[in-house]
Amino acid sequence: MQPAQEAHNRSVPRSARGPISGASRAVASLGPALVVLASIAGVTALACLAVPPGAEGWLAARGVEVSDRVGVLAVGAGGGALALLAGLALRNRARVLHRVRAALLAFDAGERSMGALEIAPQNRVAAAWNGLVAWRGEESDRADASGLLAQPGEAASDGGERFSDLLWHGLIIIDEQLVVRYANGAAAVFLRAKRDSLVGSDARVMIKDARVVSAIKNASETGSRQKQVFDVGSVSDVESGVLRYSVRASSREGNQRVLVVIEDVTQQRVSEEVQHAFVAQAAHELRTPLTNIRLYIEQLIEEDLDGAERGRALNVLNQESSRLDRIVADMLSIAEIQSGRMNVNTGDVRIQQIYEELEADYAQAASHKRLTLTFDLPPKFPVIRGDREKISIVLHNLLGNAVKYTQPGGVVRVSVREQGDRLVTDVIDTGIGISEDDLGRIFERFARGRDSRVEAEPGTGLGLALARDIARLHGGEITARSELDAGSTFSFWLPVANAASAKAA
Amino acid sequence: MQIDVERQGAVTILRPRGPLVQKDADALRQKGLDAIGGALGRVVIDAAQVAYLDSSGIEALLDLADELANAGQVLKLCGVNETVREVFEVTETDSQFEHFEDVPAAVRSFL
Repeated sequence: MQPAQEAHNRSVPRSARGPISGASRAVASLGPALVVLASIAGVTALACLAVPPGAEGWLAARGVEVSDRVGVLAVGAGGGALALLAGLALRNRARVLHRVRAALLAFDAGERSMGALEIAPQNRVAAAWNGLVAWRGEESDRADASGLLAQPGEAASDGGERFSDLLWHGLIIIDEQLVVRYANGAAAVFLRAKRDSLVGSDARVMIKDARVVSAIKNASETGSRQKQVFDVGSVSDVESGVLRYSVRASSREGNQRVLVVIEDVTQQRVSEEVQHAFVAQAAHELRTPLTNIRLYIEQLIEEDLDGAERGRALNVLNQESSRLDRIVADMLSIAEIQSGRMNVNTGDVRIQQIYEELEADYAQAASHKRLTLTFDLPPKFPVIRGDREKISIVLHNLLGNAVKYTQPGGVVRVSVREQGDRLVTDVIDTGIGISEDDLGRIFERFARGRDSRVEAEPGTGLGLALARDIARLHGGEITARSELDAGSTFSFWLPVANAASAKAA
Repeated sequence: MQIDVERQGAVTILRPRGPLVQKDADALRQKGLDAIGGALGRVVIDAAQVAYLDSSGIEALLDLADELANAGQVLKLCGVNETVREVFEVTETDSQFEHFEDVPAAVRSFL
């Protein structure tokens, strides 16, 4: 606090520096007999007072020692001391206001130095004024540094250019003639132009979108501070993406400028679309098993079924509810992975059990479809470190797909082998196969083969995305080879225990 | 060296498999520049399968980082193993990149 006070004392002209601090020191040192010239709003009163018993404590509490009493010479003895102090305070206030006024006049005359505009911080008003001066100073420093509103022909300061180059949003400043005055690196990239050619060129030529151009013209003509926002481009064209243009007029010292900020919002938009698709797809996927369940429950309630029919109905109910369960589990897992909250409960997994469960789970579905389902399992399994549930999801998804997309009479084979430090599972089918185009995207979320035979089967397009995410979370991988109409092979490997723990270490 | 290119949403993921050395570094640089130009810089390098890298590997990554820096962006790496991280630290290039644990985290950073 002290250095600051000294600094502004230096900055305030000597004439403006009041005797006030000297006076208050004198008041304090006068002790019992206070004889002071007090001027209040042009009225000068001479007072010599006695301190009444009541005021004694009041003064003492404020550090003024009252040890003696002096006879009354003039005006209103009782509250005299209080009136005097109040008068001092008022005078103090008047001085501060006077200095604020002087500073305002100096500002009007062109003074911009913070030092010259600050005043002695005698009270809260003065402190607030100084705060305002300091704050405006910082603001204008910032504006200068970024060179946002540089004069025509006047280069933005070197440091400023470099700073706005670090900005990941495109920034373009356009003048009244709609000429680009400034563009940062990101803007050049977004507009696919060389930065040198961008500056000095006509904004209407550089910015292709008609809505943005007309907003720029409008902002330039009206000087409207209303921000206008346009999303240009479409999600389907990932190369150019969706760019969000924000247009707003800005002016400083009479120079009208239009600021255009460009953001790349492609990924946000993709994410929104994926979420919408997810909800739509999820509703659809949940409805199919639900419809079946309701149908069979109605049958069970309303119709007089014999033992065999009842058994069949219950069987369907069982299958459909476990299908519901799997869909919900898939969705939850995908949500977990997407939000980065996927918990992998790592432990030693006795993976042999999972294969045994698979065999039991799919035997019926395979025989129902007249598929030959075989398991080539090694005599002995290595220990796998990982999450049993998650690994089970992967194998269920791979085998489920193989069974789903292989026509009656086909063959599905699960072959497991230890290869070096990996446990490799191949799921091989003689099914409908995957075209080369689709093969590139089947692991994407919600991606399903563009094949009528795929579309005929229910599916969320989540299974493989989830399976691959889980494989990678375990330090493994899933790859696919396929030939249309000939069949597919999905290879899923996991690191075996010692290799996995070495990776985790 | 095999470099898989995968797209997640609007983000391109480059997944080099194997050590990033010598000519492999050139291949990564080229694919990286293509990806940056093609997707307005929405690029992630998944280094989970990169066991180690040499100086040309670092140079390739720094070149890509420089290219992105023109647009105020930073090269996003994920799945970097301990060995590679140590190389970054020793060469004091660690701060040139943005690091993520895995691909989903890196992709989310574009939101």
